[in-house]
Amino acid sequence: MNRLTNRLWLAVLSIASVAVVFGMMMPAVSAVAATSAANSPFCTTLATTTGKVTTSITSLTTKLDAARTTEDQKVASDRSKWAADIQTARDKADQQRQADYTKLMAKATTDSEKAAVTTYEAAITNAVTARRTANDSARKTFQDGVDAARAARRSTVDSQVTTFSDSVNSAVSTAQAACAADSSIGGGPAIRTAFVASLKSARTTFQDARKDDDKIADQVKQLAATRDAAIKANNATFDAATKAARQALQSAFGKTSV
Amino acid sequence: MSDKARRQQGFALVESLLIIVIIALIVGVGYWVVTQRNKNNTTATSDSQTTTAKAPEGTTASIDQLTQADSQAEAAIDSKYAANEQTNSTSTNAALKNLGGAYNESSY
Repeated sequence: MNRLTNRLWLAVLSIASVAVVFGMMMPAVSAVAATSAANSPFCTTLATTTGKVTTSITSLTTKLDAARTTEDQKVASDRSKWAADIQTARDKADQQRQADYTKLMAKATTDSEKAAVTTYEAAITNAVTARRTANDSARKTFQDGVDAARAARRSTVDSQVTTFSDSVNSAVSTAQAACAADSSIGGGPAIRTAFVASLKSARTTFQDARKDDDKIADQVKQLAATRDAAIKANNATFDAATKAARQALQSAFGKTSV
Repeated sequence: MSDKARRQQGFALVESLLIIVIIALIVGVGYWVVTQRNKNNTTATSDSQTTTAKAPEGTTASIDQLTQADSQAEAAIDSKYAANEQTNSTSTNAALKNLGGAYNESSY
């Protein structure tokens, strides 16, 4: 009896042990089965990944906008200083020239000589004014040209940024749709590969376009050369006008130099 | 004449080397003096060419100089600000470059 009881206990313990071992194994087995049925790691983290990408692009696009605002402010500030510097130089030149006119007038002893000095002064003043107006026009043409080049470049860049952003969004949408259709572990790598390739293509296309970024500096340089050529021509016109005025004054004074 | 006496007639190797070094030094110093003199002459010539004597005040020549200086001053101002315009026109390049590196797709 005692022996039978012992055997029975042994059997019960064996069954219980097996049950415990099976019981411990079951959750692991069911977990593996559950993972097979759930999303692949790529699909699981896709939302986080795409969130990072779009946040980064939004942040950097905002920084680009800020850089443009800074550029606009710098250009406006520089042009304001430019005009002020030109005006300061002109005021100084006018003062110095006026002092010379006064001394020149002091040399005139007759009414005709005084009239000749007045005529000379008016001719020089007119020539200076005409040259300044023409030079201002050349500067305005230069600045307008730079503004047009900058606007054109911004338009091109805006288009490139839009294409870049659209390409990224398309890659995200495609990956999301693919994960929704097949979220198994087996489908994940293919979706990831396609997603990464699309992102790379979008990024390299945008980066390749950056090779043209410095071309605007050449355009500005060319516009400056055109402005300088115009100013040179204005100087030639000015020189001809002052030469005629000088000769008329010399003739009135009856001297080869006054 | 003995062999020893014949050997003592010419220069020894050390003496020959010393003479060569002295000649080299003389040539080197001479070259330096000549080039310095030429350099000073060139600078002086250049200065004399660029510096125009100031015309007496109250003359047409003085007024010509003033109007010419006026033009040169404006040209210098134009040049300075044109360079700024060039720099400003490319000031957003860094931001664009950063945008091109918005992500590293290989880490996803």
